[in-house]
Amino acid sequence: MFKLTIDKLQEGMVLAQDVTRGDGVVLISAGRQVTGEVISLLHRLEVETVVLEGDLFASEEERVEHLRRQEQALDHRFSRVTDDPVLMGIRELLRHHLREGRAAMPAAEDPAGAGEQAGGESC
Amino acid sequence: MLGDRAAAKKRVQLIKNLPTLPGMIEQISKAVESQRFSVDDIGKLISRDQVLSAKVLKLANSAFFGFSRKVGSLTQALVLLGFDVVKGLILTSSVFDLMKAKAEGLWLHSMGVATASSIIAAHLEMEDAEEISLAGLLHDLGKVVLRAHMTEDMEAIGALVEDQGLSTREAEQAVLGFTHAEVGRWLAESWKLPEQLAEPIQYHHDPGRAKDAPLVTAVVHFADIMVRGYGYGDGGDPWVPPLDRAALARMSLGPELLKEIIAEVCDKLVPEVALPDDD
Ligand SMILES: [Fe+2]
Ligand SMILES: [Fe+2]
Repeated sequence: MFKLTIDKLQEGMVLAQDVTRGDGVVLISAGRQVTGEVISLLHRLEVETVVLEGDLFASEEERVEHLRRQEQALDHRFSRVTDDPVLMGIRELLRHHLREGRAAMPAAEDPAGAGEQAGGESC
Repeated sequence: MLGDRAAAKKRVQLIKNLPTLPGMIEQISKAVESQRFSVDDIGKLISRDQVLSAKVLKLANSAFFGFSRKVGSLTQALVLLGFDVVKGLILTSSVFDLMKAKAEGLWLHSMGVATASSIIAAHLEMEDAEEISLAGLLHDLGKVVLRAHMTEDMEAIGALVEDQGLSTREAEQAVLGFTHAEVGRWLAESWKLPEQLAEPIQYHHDPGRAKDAPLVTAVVHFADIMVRGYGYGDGGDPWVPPLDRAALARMSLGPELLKEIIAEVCDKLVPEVALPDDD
């Protein structure tokens, strides 16, 4: 899963989460494929970002390498609380979500610092 | 590092530099206190400042508050959320504007903690969910003020974190003699925020000391830890701080509930990918 601003959407991408208004009303349902029509609808609704299925890695290798670095950052963040079983439990739940590709998986590796922008693994 | 006197002096300087409320809010606060005005009157008073009311409405309708209905007007916001929350939203939009431009990571961290706080509050079926997510949004307010008013000290603090591996709080204590939590408290006092907001701001790293709002403080304490653990935004240093056992017990979060909350936090806080512009 990853989040993208509307201007970067491409046809064929698939919505991973419902597009909702602030109050929870569903505007477009998850699973919908992005078409020109969907893009102009999103513009009209003034939606800024959407969450999409999959990732943007060029190869499986790249994906594995990225995941490895994310897990390393996760371990580093928890490195001072390894004596706390509750926090270790939370770390493992987060690791599970990472591996499922459901958490913190920004894939664009452009030199402009996508990672920082994304707020994932910023440390 | 500094003697007590020097720290005390800085403290006084900082208080003088604290951002003040827009004059209009002062006026409205008085109107609310005097109870001579109706919600309608107050809504109209705020609506006079169109930029501000647009910002407040946008924030009120943000996903991280998770209201069950669209807030269409300021009067409605006052009825649904109460004056304290609307006041908090006004503060947020004035203070955090500065932060969005200068400290994107801290803004993301704050929104993350607001989101996580509201998710926890919903699972615990707490009332005043909006106030709780606002407490999350404002919890590191002191950091915003420190960044804006004590730039040199912030560099020294950043260096201690980088070079010596201190946590931000330890580094603040070493350089300033006080931390962002205390700065947040002074601010909350000068802005007359209710204890439901002031205590989570002051005690989110030390929730055992909260007296009037121990549960909200516990929720924000835990939300801060989860968001840091998840790695969303920038909390000043990379490390997850210790989890207060009493705070955890107060929320009575069982393993199943914890699992659900974490799944929901991951779903709500999907990081944005910044793709380069096409040519
Ligand atoms: Fe903090
Ligand atoms: Fe924080």
